[in-house]
Amino acid sequence: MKEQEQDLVLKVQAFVDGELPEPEQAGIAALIARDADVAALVKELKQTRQALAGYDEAVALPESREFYWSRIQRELARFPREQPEPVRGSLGALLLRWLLPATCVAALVAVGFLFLQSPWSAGGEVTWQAANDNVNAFTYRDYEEGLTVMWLSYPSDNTVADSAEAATLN
Amino acid sequence: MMLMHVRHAVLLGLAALVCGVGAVVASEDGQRFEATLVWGTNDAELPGSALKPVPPPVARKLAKLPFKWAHYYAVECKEFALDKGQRTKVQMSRECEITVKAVDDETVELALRGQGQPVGKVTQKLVGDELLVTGGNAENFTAWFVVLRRLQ
Repeated sequence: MKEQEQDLVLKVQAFVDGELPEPEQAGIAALIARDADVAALVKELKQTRQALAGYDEAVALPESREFYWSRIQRELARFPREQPEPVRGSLGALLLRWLLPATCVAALVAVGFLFLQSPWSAGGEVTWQAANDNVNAFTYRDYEEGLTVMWLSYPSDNTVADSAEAATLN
Repeated sequence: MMLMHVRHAVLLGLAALVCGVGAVVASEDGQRFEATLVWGTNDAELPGSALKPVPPPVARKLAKLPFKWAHYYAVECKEFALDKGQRTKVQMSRECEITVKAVDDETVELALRGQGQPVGKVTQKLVGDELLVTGGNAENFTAWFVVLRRLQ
């Protein structure tokens, strides 16, 4: 629904409820008279109002509306608003604010490093430059033993190496 | 004429002296390495008298590798010294030649040639008793390895 239409619906609703300001009432009444859709809306709103009449009991205020709301305003002003507690500048607060996230990040990095660092990898401290495209190299790094294996394979011997009998690894 | 011969002799002597001093400096201040060409096999018996046991520090580490070969034999084992930035060629077998360069105090560069053709070049830090091993499949389901280590 467009904003203009929504505004019209609200005005019609206010008209039906008797809450539309007097200067606008004549215009809406004329619109209802000449526009069948608006007239249908008025009819529907009235039917709905009648259907809900039993559930919408009017509350009778003992004083005028203005006086009633001024009392509520005074009560609201009497109680100071709760301000959010400022973050203390203590060491503990600083630790919580900065050290905790930093620790979490460091832990994530460490876990990632442990799990992503496969012993069979191409990289790390080892660099390999193949003399031609026919040579494939895999790097095995055993950090504990201090050992780097650069396993070189050629297409010509892959058929042999890939056979079950000739498998390279245990 | 005689004077010229004497001058040549003196010059050659000086050159030899300079080269000799240089060689001594290289061996004293240079970095010492050992390169071993290893053959990996499942045959327990040494098929040839030329094969030797692999140096113990190398054998211990090779045995821990997850390879299928149960036995490792040294085809050739050579020691050499390099100054920082210096490189040398080492013939490991008729078909295998390596060129080793001491890039700096820790890093080495190992270039491989097989059957006269360049295979590739690996560069890495090699400190303490670390090993740099290159290897590949060989005939009859065996394997070859070139093991480079620093001698202390």
